[in-house]
Amino acid sequence: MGMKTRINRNFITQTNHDNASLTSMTTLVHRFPESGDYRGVVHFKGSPVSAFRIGVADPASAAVGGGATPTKVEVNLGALHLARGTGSEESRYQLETGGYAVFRVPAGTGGGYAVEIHRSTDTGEGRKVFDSRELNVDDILALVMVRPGAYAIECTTDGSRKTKAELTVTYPDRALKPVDPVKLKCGKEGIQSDSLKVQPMQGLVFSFEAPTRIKIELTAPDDRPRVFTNKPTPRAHAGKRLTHRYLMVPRGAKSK
Amino acid sequence: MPAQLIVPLPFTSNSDIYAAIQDAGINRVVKHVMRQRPSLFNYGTALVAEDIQLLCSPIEADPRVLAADNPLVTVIDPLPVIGTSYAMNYAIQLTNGQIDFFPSNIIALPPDLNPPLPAQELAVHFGFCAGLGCPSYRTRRSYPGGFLGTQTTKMVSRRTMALPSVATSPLRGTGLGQRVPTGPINVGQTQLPPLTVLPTNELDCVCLDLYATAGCSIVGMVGSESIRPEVLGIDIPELAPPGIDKALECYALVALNDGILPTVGNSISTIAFGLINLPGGLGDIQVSASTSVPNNPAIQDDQMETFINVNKIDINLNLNLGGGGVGSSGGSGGSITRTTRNRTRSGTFDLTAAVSGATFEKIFGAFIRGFKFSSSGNTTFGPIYVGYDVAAHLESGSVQLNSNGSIEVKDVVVRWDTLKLTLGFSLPKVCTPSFCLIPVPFDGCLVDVPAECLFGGNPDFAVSIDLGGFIDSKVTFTGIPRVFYGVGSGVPNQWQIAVEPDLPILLDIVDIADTVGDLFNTLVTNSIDALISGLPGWAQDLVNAVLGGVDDIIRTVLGIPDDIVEWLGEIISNIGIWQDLIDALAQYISITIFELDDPLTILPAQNSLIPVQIPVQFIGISVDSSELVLQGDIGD
Repeated sequence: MGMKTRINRNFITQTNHDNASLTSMTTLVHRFPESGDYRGVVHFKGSPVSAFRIGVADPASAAVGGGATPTKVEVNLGALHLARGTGSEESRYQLETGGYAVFRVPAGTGGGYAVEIHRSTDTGEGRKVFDSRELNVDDILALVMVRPGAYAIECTTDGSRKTKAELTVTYPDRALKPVDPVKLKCGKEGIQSDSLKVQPMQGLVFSFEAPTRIKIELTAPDDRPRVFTNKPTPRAHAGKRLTHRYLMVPRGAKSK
Repeated sequence: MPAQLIVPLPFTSNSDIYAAIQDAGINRVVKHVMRQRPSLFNYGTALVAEDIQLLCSPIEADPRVLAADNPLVTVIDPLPVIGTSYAMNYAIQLTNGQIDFFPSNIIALPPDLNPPLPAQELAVHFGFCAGLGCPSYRTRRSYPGGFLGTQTTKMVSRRTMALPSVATSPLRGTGLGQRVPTGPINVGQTQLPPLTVLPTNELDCVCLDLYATAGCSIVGMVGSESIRPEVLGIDIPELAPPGIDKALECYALVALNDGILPTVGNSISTIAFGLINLPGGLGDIQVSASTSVPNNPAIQDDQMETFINVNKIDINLNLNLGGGGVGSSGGSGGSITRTTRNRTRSGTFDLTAAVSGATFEKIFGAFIRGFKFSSSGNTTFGPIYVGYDVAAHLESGSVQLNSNGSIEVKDVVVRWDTLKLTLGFSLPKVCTPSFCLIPVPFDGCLVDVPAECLFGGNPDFAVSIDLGGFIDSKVTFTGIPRVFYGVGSGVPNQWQIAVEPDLPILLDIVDIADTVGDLFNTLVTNSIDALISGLPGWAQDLVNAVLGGVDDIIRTVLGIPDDIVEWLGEIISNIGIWQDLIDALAQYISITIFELDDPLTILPAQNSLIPVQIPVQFIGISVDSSELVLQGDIGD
């Protein structure tokens, strides 16, 4: 006993979300519909810190090459960040055509990550196929809201069109029951809802139809004085007398 | 006429404790004393002490006496020859000591002591020998002043000392006739009589039989009482001239009353009163002679019986229960292996001691209530860490002797001075729910959103609750007193009496107060509050909301059932506290409650003299509903 309780401070302080600054509370998925070689660059707080490569191949040709390719790869942005400067080669991932790259930031790690991926060509860097700062049709963004309060969701489409919605995270004044995440679509005209309400720790899943940046900011925290409403009630049966008779034999001795 | 069934009265029908010793047993004791401490019974001049062939009666000494070079004879000064500067060697011996309790069947009393032996009296018989070393007339005439050829150094030094002048002084009252020394009278080492000890090659011996009758009483203050025999009549049948007869009888009377019989009385007292001493300083039992019997001690049925009441029992036990008691035990520096030994003799026991049921209840009850138990440690109960620190003692209850030879100890309250439990729990990490982002149709999930947790690890918290004042429990058990002969290794052999618990032992948990459940709830609530107190208010409420509130935390998260009291009882049982208590109690009961060295020292070693010890040939124990009886035999 006596282990000190370790608290994940991000869990409490991570109130604002931005797909241009990925955190441990966000999960970003990009689908690769075309085969080819790709090179990704990891940015941390605006600066490139690491690079990686993804080879996307048709399942049939991959089988000829001698092995099955996965339909999903997990890209740990925090790990790539930490691995920079170690002299090792860029990390390589293999993916089936139409498969997904999942970009995550490890739990407990501060945010600030962004990823961009370009197609690799014989002549060098080709066109950009993915940028976490501007999500598109092949991308899915999932995040979890924890802190109760009022939030503003700002959806910037095609770099200039802004739409807004109000998000309320309710106060946890009663026992929480698991609920499904809320799915939101950010279309070419912006976010589809004007206002929505979720309970603490409920997920939000965004899908996109045009290049979009999503920012969610806490506008009015919901803080309340603590009310100890959950004081336990006596549960023992009043007047009950516990009576047990033990027939005991000392250790090492034998009863008759 | 139908035969009458005679049911013997319990030994303790007139007292709390009864102790008796048989005359044959005492005679064995006397024989051991005479063999092991012969100098108490044989007196002679230095010449006689150096040449014991001169003695009138040979000394039958224990080989250990000879091995230890202990004196066989107590050296006394030579006998002055009146009117001369000479002294003569001589010896006095007591031989063949015997005692005979009413009714007389060992010693045939002489007519002058009016046989048969009256009730409540005892008879004593000693052989008495006296010898005088008289030099031949021819030798004295031929070598006047030359008697020193066979004398000891001590005698030489006496001869060479200057003789004091002797003057005649008047007899007392008449002023005539008595010769007294007029020189300086010295004491101690310098007061040596100017005597020349006449040499001798043999003693002229006379051996007589001395008979005495005596009564007995208990003397001394309460707590240090002892049995004191006192001579009532004395006779030396062979001694004809009445004057000599009277003088010697007088002499013997003083010697017996003030010398020999007190020693014998002390030996008997050691057995009678010493039997109820507790071993190892476990406490104090103060006794006194009973006055509810017409004779105490009573001399009857070839025994001397003493009736003793217990005035005070003060047992203060503080035992270290680390040692064994089941099969072997031992003091410091040695060990004792318990065996059993059967009686080889038949008839009346040399020693009988009985403790009444009521007295035994007091003594054994005090012993039981002296039990103290403590234990501490930690373990796990499922996912829960459990630390415990307990201390308990016993109170109340009853002790009863049963006709089947057992001792029943019933409903003894186990008073828990402390029963502190520290229960350590781990709370869940409080995580966001994970969910599937991209499912695989009919095949699970391709991409999921993992949980993000508030706590880095499972947070621990502990609740300490002292159930000491909330638990009522009782213990009941039956013990069987057993006698063991302990064969010592490095320590003397011992007769030991221990009570073996008749298993199983019953432990009744009568009640754990209901308020324990409420108290525990409050402690858990406070502990959880303290654990998350560093979080913002909304996060604290979030934790409670996720975990479902304290009720759900206790019931669902921590897995504590509705009946907390029952659950706590289950924990205490499972972590072995009850078992530890019973183990300690069984060990406590099994300790040796009575022990007697074999051989038993009745006269301690004195300077170079070896101790006088008597073999304890047998000890047996029996219990019925009225008393506990201890009986034993003294070895030859």
